Amino acid sequence: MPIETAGFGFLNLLTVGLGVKMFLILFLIFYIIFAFVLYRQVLTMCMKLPTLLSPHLKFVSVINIGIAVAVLFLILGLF
Amino acid sequence: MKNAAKDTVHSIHSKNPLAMFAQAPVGVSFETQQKKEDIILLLRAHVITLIPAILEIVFLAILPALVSSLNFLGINIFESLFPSQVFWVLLAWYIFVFGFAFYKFIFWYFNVYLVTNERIVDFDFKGILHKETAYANLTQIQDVTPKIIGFFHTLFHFGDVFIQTAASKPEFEFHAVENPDLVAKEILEQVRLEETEAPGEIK
Repeated sequence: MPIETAGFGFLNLLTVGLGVKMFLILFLIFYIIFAFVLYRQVLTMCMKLPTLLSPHLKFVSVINIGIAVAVLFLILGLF
Repeated sequence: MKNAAKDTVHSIHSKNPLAMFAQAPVGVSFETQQKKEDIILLLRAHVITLIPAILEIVFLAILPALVSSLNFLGINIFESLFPSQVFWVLLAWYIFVFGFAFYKFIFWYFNVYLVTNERIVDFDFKGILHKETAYANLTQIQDVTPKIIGFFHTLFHFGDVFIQTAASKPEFEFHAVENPDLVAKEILEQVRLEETEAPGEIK
């Protein structure tokens, strides 16, 4: 196998990895914004219409933001 | 005895927080509820209307497996990544799928129609950035029309209830609710009771 081909293959692998990392970071930043807006909506609706499920919904929406933020930091550090 | 059996609306207190047709729901109130105002009915769209959303979620959940097995355009993206990178991509994807499913659930759960002994309330949650609440006093209600149109509507007995009012929102639409006939009957019954009360009185 020519040396140039092997070198380019390695470079491609790095480029793909870097591209995917950048994409995931952007994706998660937008997702965190979405999750935060969803949390605000849940808070507003739970205030307007309190039900037996309201505390659980608030909990799930907070956990949703927390997991997304945690995954973002893990990707920044480990990917 | 016969009347008691027929009066399903007033004899049951619904404790199911996910009910689509809840009579006098326990643990539910709303922001502008008055002191003696009772919730007679809490309505949500029939659970059948969630089937398209469930199919979308299932499709999104199996999409990574489809992408890897079908080998789109002759490129298998997962082969170009290290296994640890594939793990992070899949984790981010399933977080998104969970968020989408949660959003769809919230959308269904908070699209609520209430019939109280004083008014009707329509909580509209039309999108992530669009919510609307409309109220109409029972005395402002002019006409109530239940409609069941379509195969699935007839099969599962759900439909729309159109309510003409003299309020600032001229028409209320209770969309895809279960037992639309019973809902219309109950609204008209509450209107009749309200008309027997003195103005401003809450019984």
